[in-house]
Amino acid sequence: MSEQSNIIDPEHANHHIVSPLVYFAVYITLLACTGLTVWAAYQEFGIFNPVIALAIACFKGTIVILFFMHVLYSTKLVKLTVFAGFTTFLVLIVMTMLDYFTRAWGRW
Amino acid sequence: MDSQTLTTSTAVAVEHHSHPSYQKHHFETEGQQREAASLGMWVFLLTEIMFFGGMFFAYLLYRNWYNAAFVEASRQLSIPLGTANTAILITSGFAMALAVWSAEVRKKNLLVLFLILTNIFGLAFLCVKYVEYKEKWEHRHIPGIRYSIEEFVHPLLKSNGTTELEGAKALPVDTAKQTEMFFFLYFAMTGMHALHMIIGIGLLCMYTVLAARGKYTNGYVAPIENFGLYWHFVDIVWIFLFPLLYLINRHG
Repeated sequence: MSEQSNIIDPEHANHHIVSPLVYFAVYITLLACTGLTVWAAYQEFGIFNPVIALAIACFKGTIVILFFMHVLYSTKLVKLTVFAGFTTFLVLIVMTMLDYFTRAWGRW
Repeated sequence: MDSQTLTTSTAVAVEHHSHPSYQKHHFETEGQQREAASLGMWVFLLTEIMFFGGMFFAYLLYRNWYNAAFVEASRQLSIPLGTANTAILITSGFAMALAVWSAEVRKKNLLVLFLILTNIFGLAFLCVKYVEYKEKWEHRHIPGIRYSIEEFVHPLLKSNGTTELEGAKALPVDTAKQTEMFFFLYFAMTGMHALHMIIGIGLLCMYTVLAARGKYTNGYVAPIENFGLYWHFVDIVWIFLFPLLYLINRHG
């Protein structure tokens, strides 16, 4: 029987119900970050303005994925799948960007 | 049904231990079924990331190539409306998260309530989007033969001589023409996002009716949970769209 359960439930995962309090804390954080990103857009940070805007957006996206989408409480299989997906996407963006931005290298 | 088939199906039923009515035949346990559904949903969402990713990439490239035009075009978008819409969408996502919780703890009335709230905030988002699109139509900022660069070449002046949009600068004609690309990407990205919301709202109506009949409060949480994944994904797309489209260089 234990061999059987190793096959159908290899991670022996316990289903976790996320508390509404956690959801509420995430909700408030998301609203605060929205205010922060609008405030930051009006400040002069030079080339760091878009970097800050994207950093805040990435933070918001991450807490949505971890808590609202339950990835923090998921099995390793789901965690790895999500991580692999985003990593592949980043590789695609970065590699294509490297190509576009080096084509006219030294000719500007 | 002949007696032969009857005997076989009874034999199969006896062979299987008891399981909930919603558990499909090919799954050993309820947990296995739920895990498989969740994994499948995530794989679908990864294809959605690649789909939106293409547009995000086009945006990044043109924002670098046509930076001056993108800065001026972005000023045409309303920050109060964009911020309000971000808050509305986050609230809708919060209601969706609570709907999943209600299904987990098997509270039918709460589940229906939160699904309806999710839907109302989703519709409110689309209403604000309509107001924004309508304004773009009036200013002739929808790409195509009706597109006008007039306001970028000659920014609208108020009676006291300041420009109508704070910090707006006049652009040379060739740069002004590049603003069309900003609006093309704006409509492609927010339009695709809105389409996802419309599909989501349609699904939500269906889930609300089925939830009211008690389908998802007997332990069968997977459809609500996986719809929640979809809805939160649409939220995340907007979380990135808002700063990228609305908040380019507002300090200058």
